[in-house]
Amino acid sequence: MSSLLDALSMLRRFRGYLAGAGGISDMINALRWSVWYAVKWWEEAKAAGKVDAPVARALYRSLLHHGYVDEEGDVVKRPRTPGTPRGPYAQEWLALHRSFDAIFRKVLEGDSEAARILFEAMQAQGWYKLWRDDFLKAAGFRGRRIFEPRMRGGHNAVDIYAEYAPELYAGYEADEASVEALLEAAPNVVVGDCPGSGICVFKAATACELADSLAKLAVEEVLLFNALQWMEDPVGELACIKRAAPKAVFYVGQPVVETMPGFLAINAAAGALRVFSRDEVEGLLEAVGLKRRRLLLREIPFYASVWA
Amino acid sequence: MLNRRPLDCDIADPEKFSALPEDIQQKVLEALKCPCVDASTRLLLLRLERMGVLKCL
Repeated sequence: MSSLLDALSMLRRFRGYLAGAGGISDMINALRWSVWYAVKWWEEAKAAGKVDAPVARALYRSLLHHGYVDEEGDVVKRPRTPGTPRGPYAQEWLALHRSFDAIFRKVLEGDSEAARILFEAMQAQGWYKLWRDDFLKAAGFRGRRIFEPRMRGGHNAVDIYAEYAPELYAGYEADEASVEALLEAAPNVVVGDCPGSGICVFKAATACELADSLAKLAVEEVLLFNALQWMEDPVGELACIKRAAPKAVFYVGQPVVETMPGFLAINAAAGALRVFSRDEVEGLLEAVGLKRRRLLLREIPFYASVWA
Repeated sequence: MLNRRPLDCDIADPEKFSALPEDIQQKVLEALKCPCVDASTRLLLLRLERMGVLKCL
């Protein structure tokens, strides 16, 4: 039922995304590859005795939900090999999974560098940008005074700044190298002492560390795009943001357990700390006093909603 | 202060480069031929440089 509702919503609100994928059947075909690879990776993780690795736990949780493995982790349903999608963005999605497949053994052995590089590349892929941009359009994102908690390289910041020309795009990075790259890549970037306009990057590990500065920035929009599962303390951090920007609208778009297991695994391997179900995501947002204003997509191809 | 050096990059680690998705390999190769990249591509090159995939002068 929810898949049907999501399909209708996709047809109504995400036409660009659908067109890029090559139509709804090609999009479904591309998404099936994520399941197909997830089952393959889960079996490889089991064979290697690595079922407790973060990437394996992400796979298990989603595959269990989708009915491909049972509680014991045995594969009880095997997806047929999907056809190759024709749409250019669907092909990029498949290329992402192929690339992760090539490094999966390294990931299981605990090498996180290869997955981090892949995640970096993913943020520059056309399908990822289309996913984000169509989500923002469908959500009615105005793009005036934006806060993105974890910038993770600044790809969203650079693209959204170019597209929406906001008064302010603020966020934080935990490591110096990310700050330096962003400074060097784009104009109007300021680090630390934010003048209240341009792209402001704070050096911090959590939004709570910059709550006082954030409160002075009159943030109107909080972008939580593929973000909550990367936070160490999502409720604590959301509470800090809500206190600092009490009137802001929160735009939430991300994969959930009910979404694509292979993509969840790629996130987990690249450093995402958790895997959330749709109900868990909504529970986090409700826990800090936010109320859902719009539900754009329940789970397929991702979860998307607006809160305030 | 902004320091936008002209990017003159090359592949530093062929193994890491070949592990990128094909479309990104193509995008990077095209960007290496032309320094006239947009901020988004420039950010990708700089990030890949810091990850040891590329080396830039």
